Amino acid sequence: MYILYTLAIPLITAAICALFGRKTKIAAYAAVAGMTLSAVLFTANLFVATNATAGLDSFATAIGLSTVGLMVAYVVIVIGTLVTWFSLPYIENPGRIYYPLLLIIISATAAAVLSTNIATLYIFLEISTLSTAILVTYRKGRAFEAATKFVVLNSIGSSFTLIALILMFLNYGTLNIGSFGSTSSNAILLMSLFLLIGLGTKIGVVPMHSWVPDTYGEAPTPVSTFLAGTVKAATAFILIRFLFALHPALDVVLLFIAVTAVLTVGVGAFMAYTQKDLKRFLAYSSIEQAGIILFAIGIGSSAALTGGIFQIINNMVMKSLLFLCVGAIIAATKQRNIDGLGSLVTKMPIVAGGFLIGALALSGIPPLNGFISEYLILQAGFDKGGIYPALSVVLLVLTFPMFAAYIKVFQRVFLTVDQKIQAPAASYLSIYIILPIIILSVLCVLMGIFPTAIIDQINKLSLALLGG
Amino acid sequence: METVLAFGILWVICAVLIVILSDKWSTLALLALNLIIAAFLFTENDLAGALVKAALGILSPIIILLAVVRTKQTKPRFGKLPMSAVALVTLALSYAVAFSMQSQFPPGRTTETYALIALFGIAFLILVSQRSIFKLLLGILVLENIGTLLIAWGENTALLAVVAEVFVVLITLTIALIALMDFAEYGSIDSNKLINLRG
Repeated sequence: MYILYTLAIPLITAAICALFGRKTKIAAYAAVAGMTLSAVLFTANLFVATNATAGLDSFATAIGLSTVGLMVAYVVIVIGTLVTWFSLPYIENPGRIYYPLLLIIISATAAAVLSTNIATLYIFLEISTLSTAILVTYRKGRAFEAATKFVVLNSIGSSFTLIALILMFLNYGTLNIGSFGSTSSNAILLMSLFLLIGLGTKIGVVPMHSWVPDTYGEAPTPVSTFLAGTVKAATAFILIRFLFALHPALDVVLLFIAVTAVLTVGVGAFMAYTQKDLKRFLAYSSIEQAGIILFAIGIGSSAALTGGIFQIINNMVMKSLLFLCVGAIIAATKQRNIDGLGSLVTKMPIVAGGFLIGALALSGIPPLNGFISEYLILQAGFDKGGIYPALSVVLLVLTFPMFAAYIKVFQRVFLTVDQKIQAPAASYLSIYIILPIIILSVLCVLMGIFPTAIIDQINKLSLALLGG
Repeated sequence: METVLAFGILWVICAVLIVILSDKWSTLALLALNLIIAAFLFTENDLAGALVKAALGILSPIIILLAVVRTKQTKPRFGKLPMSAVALVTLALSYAVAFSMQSQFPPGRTTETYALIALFGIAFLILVSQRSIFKLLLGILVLENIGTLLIAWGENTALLAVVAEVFVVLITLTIALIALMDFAEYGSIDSNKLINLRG
């Protein structure tokens, strides 16, 4: 139970940050301290539970959670902590709202992942959405436009999610996801579609994706990092939990999801290739990643769900890494146009290394973590039979433009020699910027080389979700 | 059944008025819709739901009205006559869809389900046909009202109703606030003029 209290620390810290008001330096250090404390306590709890006689599974069951849910929430807190560290040198004038809202979003996202009650889950999702909408306006000017698109489209998504959740309550007579029984196939079809539109909008699934590039492009980079890397992946995890709590899952719904996923990958990959702005490029690549996760859901087998949930955890690490690298570039050069950058490999070698690792991991290159999860998903697609092998081939082909785009951007930003680009000032290479990049790069490698422990846990959840 | 039918017709009329009228008057139509839903919940013996809807349901229209008077009315994409015609076509299509699915409706809720599907159709029409950010917000609130009416179908749902209504107010507040920021930046709340980020 103590592990749940660690989620309250960011909330308490948010209140402290709000109290400090204009003393922004104190608020910033309080936020860093609070998030670090939360991450350390979460780690300690998990470590103790893992080494106890009963093990992590019994620990999670005792507090009514799944082990994988705990793992996803843990990654949310860790990435949230790294994003808060990154904000310290990056956000020069945080004002009154930046840190309180950032901490609320982190806390609400972790709590949503852990929620087993549909009412509390809706509350945490909404808190996260509304806080994000306000935080997106932080840079003012064009950010207002991005915030408008974000809040209008996500509120439409919220309405659909709310209706889906109410239909679940009416059909199953309980608010507890774990207690859902079975119901008519028509009711499942309706709930699945509302859920897919509602949560799909928050994930950025085509055609509800138009807010994604604008929001990720205009929000402060640490916020974009947390949204693209963590909030989106956590929402995908919630979608999996809900969709497969509706028994029995309908083949027609799964096929619809798989086709939508392929479309999402295609739109994300091709649009990413054409982008000149680094953050919009990453925003479209995150749409492509959402498509890959959605494809795993569409296949619907236990192997696919294992790959999909592993991809969700990987996405949190890989996407956050790339966004933080881009943030470091923007902080150092004040430039986010790809054509205005060049030869940064010698000036920012750690950032270049981090970007390369993140890009290769997202492209599914072995031995990095993205390879394992994407391989599992595609393999499950080929094993499923029917139209799925063909869809898997199309998906694979559609990921090539994305890989080409990563190579193009890396070559242009880091390798092309351009005398016009000024060397970044040393002050920008703060340890709070570099350390998160190093940690996430190492995680990409370690999770690729030693994936077994995580995959074993995810496999148990996948089997449980499918009633196995 | 007659009571439900009468209320259903009133809901749909209010929703259609939101499509046709200006921002200010359509906000008043939403206020009327919320109050009519509160009265309906009262007649259904859902006292808690009726009180929640009556108390919190007036907040959203008030917030929108306060924001609307600080902005300029957006020129509608279509005139009143074409919009009325499209609203009627939408209603006809909604009823056709509802009729085709009637056998699947929950027992004893046929009339109400017809009204909900019609409301859904009109909410969809608002979201796809309107330029003003406030009109889009009103479309979202019509969708949320469908949620409110569905909650009333369950038992012991007072807490759920409060949660949903509180978030409706918070969503309204957030969108209204951001619309005012847009107005300060662009001098308009026309969503079609928010094109600086396209590309």
